[in-house]
Amino acid sequence: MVYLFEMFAFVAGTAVGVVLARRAARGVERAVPPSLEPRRRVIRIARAWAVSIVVVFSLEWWFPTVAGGMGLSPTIDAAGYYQWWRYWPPVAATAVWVIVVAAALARTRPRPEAPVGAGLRRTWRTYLRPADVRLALAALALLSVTVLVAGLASSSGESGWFTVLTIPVGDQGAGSATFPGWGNGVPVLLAAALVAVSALRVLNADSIAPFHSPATADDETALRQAAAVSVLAVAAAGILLGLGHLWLAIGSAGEGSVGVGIPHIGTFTFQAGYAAIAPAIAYAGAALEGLGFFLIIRMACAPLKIRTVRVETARVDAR
Amino acid sequence: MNRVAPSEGGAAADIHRHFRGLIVSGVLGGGERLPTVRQVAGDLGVAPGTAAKAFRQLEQEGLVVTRAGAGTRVSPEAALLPYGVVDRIRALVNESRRQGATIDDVLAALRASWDSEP
Repeated sequence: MVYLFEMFAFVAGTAVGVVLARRAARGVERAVPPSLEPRRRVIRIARAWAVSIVVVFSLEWWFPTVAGGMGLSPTIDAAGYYQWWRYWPPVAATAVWVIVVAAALARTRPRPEAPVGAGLRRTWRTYLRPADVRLALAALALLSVTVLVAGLASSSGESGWFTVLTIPVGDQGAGSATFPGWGNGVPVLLAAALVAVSALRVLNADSIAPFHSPATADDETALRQAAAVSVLAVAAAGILLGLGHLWLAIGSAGEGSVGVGIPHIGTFTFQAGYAAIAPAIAYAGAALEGLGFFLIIRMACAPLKIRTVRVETARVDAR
Repeated sequence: MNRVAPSEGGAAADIHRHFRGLIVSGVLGGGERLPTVRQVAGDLGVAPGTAAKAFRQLEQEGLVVTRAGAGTRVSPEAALLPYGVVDRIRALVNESRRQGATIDDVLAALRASWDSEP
């Protein structure tokens, strides 16, 4: 049932993103000076390429289903549990996106020709909206806590990976369910850390770089803003997709039950301690995924509109 | 934007005078962090040592305070307004420009608001 909700989140997040992007498409892109054209092209391509993260997520999601239908089970190990690489591909795809885009932005940064005085300090947050920064940081913090808590709750299965939730069954021993413990969470967290560090580096480098000239400073500021907003949106979306998938799996594990049959009495079922809230966790996970889809699709589908931005710096002839 | 002409004192003196003007005119608020030496040097196309020299001059005059780990900040005594107020003024200016408001209308509204608020 929750996986149907995940499908709904995919469709809804994508559809709302497309609708809002189409609304934002009203208006005409303004021309930028020739020296900035390569940079605008990079940002435009990067935004479209961000859709690949959704594609990777879909593959990671649909491939096991299709393969399972063909009698294959490439994501299930011998003990019947999900393999450890089941969760991190979308987040890793995000890290690749950020690293490649950072390199492309650095290559297309125009050389400074005339000094544009620095009055105000520029940092990695200068061209970002505070609400977007808070969303990304909250997603990263929540992912860290989730991996820690789920890891501590997990047990090592027959394969040795911590991908099992032990469900006590009275004095009859214990049952187990597939669970995203250390084996699943740590790769996601490592990929998310790579995303965060890479995003921070590109945002900072792009922010403190000198301007080309006073004449192009306003356009450069607008392009820096567009690049920064895109990088943060993709980074946040990748982390949300990883986080949402973990929550979905945690919720699904909590909904499972272990049955024990006692002769002449009947069958008793046992569930995990958090079974009562497990469905809510699973649905929240699907909603987080939907938010991730939404962030990427809205950004990828919207045109790159360059609005004139007045540079809040003073100009100095210091040479 | 204001333009500062090159002077006899060289680039360091220009940078010093530029930031001095920003501080005493209220563009930079008390407690606000100055750009890094690396950013200033890159923006102005000068050596980092030149920018650092200008910052040292500002510090000697008491216009900025440098603390290890906290960077270089505008001295509260030297600034016209605290950073919190200056930051909101910047946001007001940006939003006003975005909405197409004129400075006269904004100033009139600001004055009216100032007078009406208890």
